[in-house]
Amino acid sequence: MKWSSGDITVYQQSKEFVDTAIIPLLPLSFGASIRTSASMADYATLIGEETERQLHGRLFLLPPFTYLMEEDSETLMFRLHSWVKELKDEGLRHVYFLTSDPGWKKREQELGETLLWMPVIPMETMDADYREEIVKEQVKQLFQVILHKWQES
Amino acid sequence: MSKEDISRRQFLNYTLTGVGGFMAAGMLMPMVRFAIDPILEKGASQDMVAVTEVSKIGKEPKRFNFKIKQKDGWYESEVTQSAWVYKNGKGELIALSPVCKHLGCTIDWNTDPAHPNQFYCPCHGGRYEKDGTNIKGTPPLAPLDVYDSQVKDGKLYLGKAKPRKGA
Ligand code: FES
Repeated sequence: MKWSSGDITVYQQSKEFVDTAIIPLLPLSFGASIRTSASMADYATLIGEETERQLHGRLFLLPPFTYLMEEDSETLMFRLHSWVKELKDEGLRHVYFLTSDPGWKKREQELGETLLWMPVIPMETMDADYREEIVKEQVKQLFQVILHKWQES
Repeated sequence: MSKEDISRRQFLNYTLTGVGGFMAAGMLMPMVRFAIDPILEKGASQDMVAVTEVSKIGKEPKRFNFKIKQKDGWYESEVTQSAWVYKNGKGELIALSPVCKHLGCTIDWNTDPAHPNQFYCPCHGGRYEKDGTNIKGTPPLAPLDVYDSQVKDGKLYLGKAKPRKGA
């Protein structure tokens, strides 16, 4: 499911079948990291969308959680945790963060939910077929993680 | 007072330009349509897309990807679709849509060890027979959609995936 009115209608009718949410974490920066931050957004978006397409019926791809790269880490954590709380209250038991921002990797412990982190691959110069292949490969790995969690529960 | 007036005028100005812009777009649109319509029509009549060589299709369902053009509001984009294709006992080619009829996850062939030789949906355990019939007691209530298909010059062409009557 996506955060769009059409999908929300389905969601409301079949809530009991949707128990998983993915939140893309996208940093924003205009300084020296402007290109990196944009590549991170491209990448996480592509991967998030492909995952959603395949697991449409059980997984919610949320709008991205955006933040400034320089944002104070405490407020950031606080904001993120309030998202998670909201989702859990809604009954979304499995929450995943999807990002290429290495900042999160270092703070994985504090997150409390599974971090799906992958190093960014700049794709703007790749041809479409190759890009698709890379995304498919990555998504396959995410699948392993998500399906495994589902089987456990 | 006068300050407010100006801002009101500015406001009107902005809005009107906005509306004007919209109207201009409205006038341009039909022209653009005329310009590309013939191509679109051709596309529509040969809606079928070559997917694979028939010789590559066996008795075991195999997944083939192909690209179709999709119109999403304003722009047209290429989307990858896939089909599960195999030859049935009568030698007919069957091409099934991979979209689960429950809530739309992507199904896979023969991935549930407990139920071999079935299509399996990882989301809520939906299952289908090889011919696409949904298995009672699992969430899906309809069989998998079937692609319109056609064989020409040794190649399999697929069109739209269409629903079938429930089992
Ligand atoms: S989406 Fe396939 S079983 Fe629910």
